[in-house]
Amino acid sequence: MVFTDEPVVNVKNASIFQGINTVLSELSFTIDKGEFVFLIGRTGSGKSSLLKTLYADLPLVMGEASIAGFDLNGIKSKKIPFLRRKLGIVFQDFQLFPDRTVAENLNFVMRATGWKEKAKMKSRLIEVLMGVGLGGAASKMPHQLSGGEQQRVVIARALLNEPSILLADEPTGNLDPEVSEGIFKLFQEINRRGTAVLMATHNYELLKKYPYRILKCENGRLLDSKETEIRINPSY
Amino acid sequence: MAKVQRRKTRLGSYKFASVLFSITLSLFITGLFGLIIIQAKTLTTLIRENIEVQVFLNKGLSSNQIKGLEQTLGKKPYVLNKEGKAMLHFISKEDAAQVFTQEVGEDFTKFLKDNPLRDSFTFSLEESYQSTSMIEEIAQELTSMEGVFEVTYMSDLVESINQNLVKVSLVLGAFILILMITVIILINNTIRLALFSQRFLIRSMQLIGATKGFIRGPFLWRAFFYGALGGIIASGMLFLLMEYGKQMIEGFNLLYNLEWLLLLFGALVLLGAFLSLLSTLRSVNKYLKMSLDELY
Repeated sequence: MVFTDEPVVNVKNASIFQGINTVLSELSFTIDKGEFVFLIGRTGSGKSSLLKTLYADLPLVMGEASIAGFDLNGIKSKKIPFLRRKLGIVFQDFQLFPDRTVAENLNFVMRATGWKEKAKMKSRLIEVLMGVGLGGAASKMPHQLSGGEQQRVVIARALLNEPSILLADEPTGNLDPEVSEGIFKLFQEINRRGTAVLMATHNYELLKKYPYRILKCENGRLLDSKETEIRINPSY
Repeated sequence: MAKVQRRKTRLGSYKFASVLFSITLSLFITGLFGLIIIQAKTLTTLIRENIEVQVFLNKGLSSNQIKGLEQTLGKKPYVLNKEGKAMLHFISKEDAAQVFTQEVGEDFTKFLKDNPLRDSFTFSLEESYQSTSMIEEIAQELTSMEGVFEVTYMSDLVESINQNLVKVSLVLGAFILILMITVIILINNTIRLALFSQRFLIRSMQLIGATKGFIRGPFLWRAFFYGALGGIIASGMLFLLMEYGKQMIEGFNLLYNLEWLLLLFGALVLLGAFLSLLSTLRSVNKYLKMSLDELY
């Protein structure tokens, strides 16, 4: 956690590139600690590229940006793993290892991110599983869990290192409305505990029901609901 | 409830059987060539040891003078030494006459009423003195020695052996070069293919914040292990082949050089481990640098 008043995400006059193509330009926005923000836009509008830039998978070529205390301008590849430990990443194509239990999945992540003491690992494991409402699932295999439960484990995994912000790309994309609602409520709960959330979504119902701040990728620009009125239509 | 049977895909593990098979096969073929070279080298040494220099002595030398010459020659660096003993033989003119009589089937001393042959020393040359020019120098040095009548050696044979050895070495060298390139490409491609299936696992590791060292570690360790294991298996197969050759081919024992063989086996294990490690490092680094779009 970052215990300052500094925004968790601070982007100034940045351009987002995918290869040599500019996807978004003149981006300026901040996300404060504990804030919940939706990221919307049509497919190919630059949502994923923006998220990739934020977790340093795409380089920041123009402008300035910082996230969770890390400056993204010319960030050295050695520092990227430590930046990612301060972020929680919840993506559709970033799944659990299907050949190991929930506990093994989470333990593996902890070992990979520098955890050494077994007692602390065990306690953190129980803590995050309880936090996502899966206290009894530690010994289960991913295929023994429902889609919603699997997504909860993915969220628990993202929370292991107490991230300053959760970056979620379509976390409810493959789930039915009822389960989606449950997952969303979990994100809200995490957010209430102080973790900022930036969630890319196409779920029109969620946008309508929960009036959080919205960032919208449109025509190569990023519109911010804090500054301009954003119209939501079901095609998002 | 029956326990769920599952097999863990550990980080860094891949279909090792095909990788191990390729590495072992490549190293076995390399080792086979290595064996041929060792055999050729041992054979060369054997052939060269047969290059003998004969030193004919003046007539009427006393046994003390002959002994003195024997001691002088025995200390010369160009006389082949085996297990601390100079390969120097004295052949008296009587022995020479006896051999000659046996060869021609007639005792020439009876009708000549004299033995025109001379006492002589015969010795083999150390390997480093076996070039034509060096033998010529040795012959000159020996001829100038007191008590020496004449020095002979088969100059044509020496020349011919040396020339042929150069040709054989060049051909073998070219083969080895081609073989090594093939082996490197084969091992590299096998490992690259095996690691292709691991690219999303590598990606997941990166996204959770694992360092490159943590991701590379298990891959490199396994690559080293399988490479070395391939080398050990290939060495074992070559050893069995040699043992079989010893039993089945007469005279094969003469070409058996345990010291060189152990060196070859050691080199195969190191080569396997090194090539496998290097190929894995290249592949893992490639996937570590790829973006998600490139991975698909």
